[in-house]
Amino acid sequence: MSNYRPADRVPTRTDADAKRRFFNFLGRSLSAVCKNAVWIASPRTDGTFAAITNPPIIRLRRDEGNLYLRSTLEFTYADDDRFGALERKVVTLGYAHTVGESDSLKPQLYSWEWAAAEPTYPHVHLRRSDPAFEGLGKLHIPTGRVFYEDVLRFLVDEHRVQPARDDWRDVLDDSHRRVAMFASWGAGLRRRAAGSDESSP
Amino acid sequence: MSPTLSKAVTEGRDELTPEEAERFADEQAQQYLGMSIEEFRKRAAADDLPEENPMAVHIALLAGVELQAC
Repeated sequence: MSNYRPADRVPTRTDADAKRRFFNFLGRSLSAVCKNAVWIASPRTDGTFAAITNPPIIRLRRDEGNLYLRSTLEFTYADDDRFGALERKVVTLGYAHTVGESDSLKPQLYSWEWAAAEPTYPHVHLRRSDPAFEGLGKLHIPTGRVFYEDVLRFLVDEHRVQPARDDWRDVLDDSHRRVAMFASWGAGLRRRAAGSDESSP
Repeated sequence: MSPTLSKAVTEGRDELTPEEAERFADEQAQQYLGMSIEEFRKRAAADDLPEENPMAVHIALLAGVELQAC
């Protein structure tokens, strides 16, 4: 945890605390592109949870036509003994982040997915169900783990989605740094530090 | 905007009840796939869902339904 700062840690003794911390950071990230949406948990019959947004599909404003994002995470709770005292943490079990050009997500531009289905590796679908790209959408293109913040930053940087706050980049960078630092696997997009040795692995 | 979600948010909750979760999953399956959540579960088990619909994976994650493929 080379980027660890004591202020980064928000100790959580209970599942409710862990959920609050999880949604706090997801909500901050969401506020980079949308002011009036929140995250909420939905219990599943197997004892795990889905995290969804309200509204379920977020309209992302652009000058050249809006985009629409639906994100769903699946998660559970687990013991966290990394800091000496027993705490609780959220463990992400899967995700889907789908971007489309209408509020039905059709045509679909991207869908980053990782779920308990074949293939079980994280992947992206491009242009699924778009007749202009027949066959492309069926491919499961490997990605490594993609974080919510990666998706939002990509949409602002590459698709010119309008940020909802002036400090959107700082907000996403900070949330990404925290989630990558504490994630149990797949640290997501890594940014090269200034002056770093380019020959390093 | 889903009335089920909005009710929970208006009440200041960050989690649906199990009954609300089932109702919301059913609403979403009806709205986007034209089937009940029970039918969605049965068709998922039979690997008979419309694979081109981008909503299927979200409804599966929402309801805890394991797809054969995604």
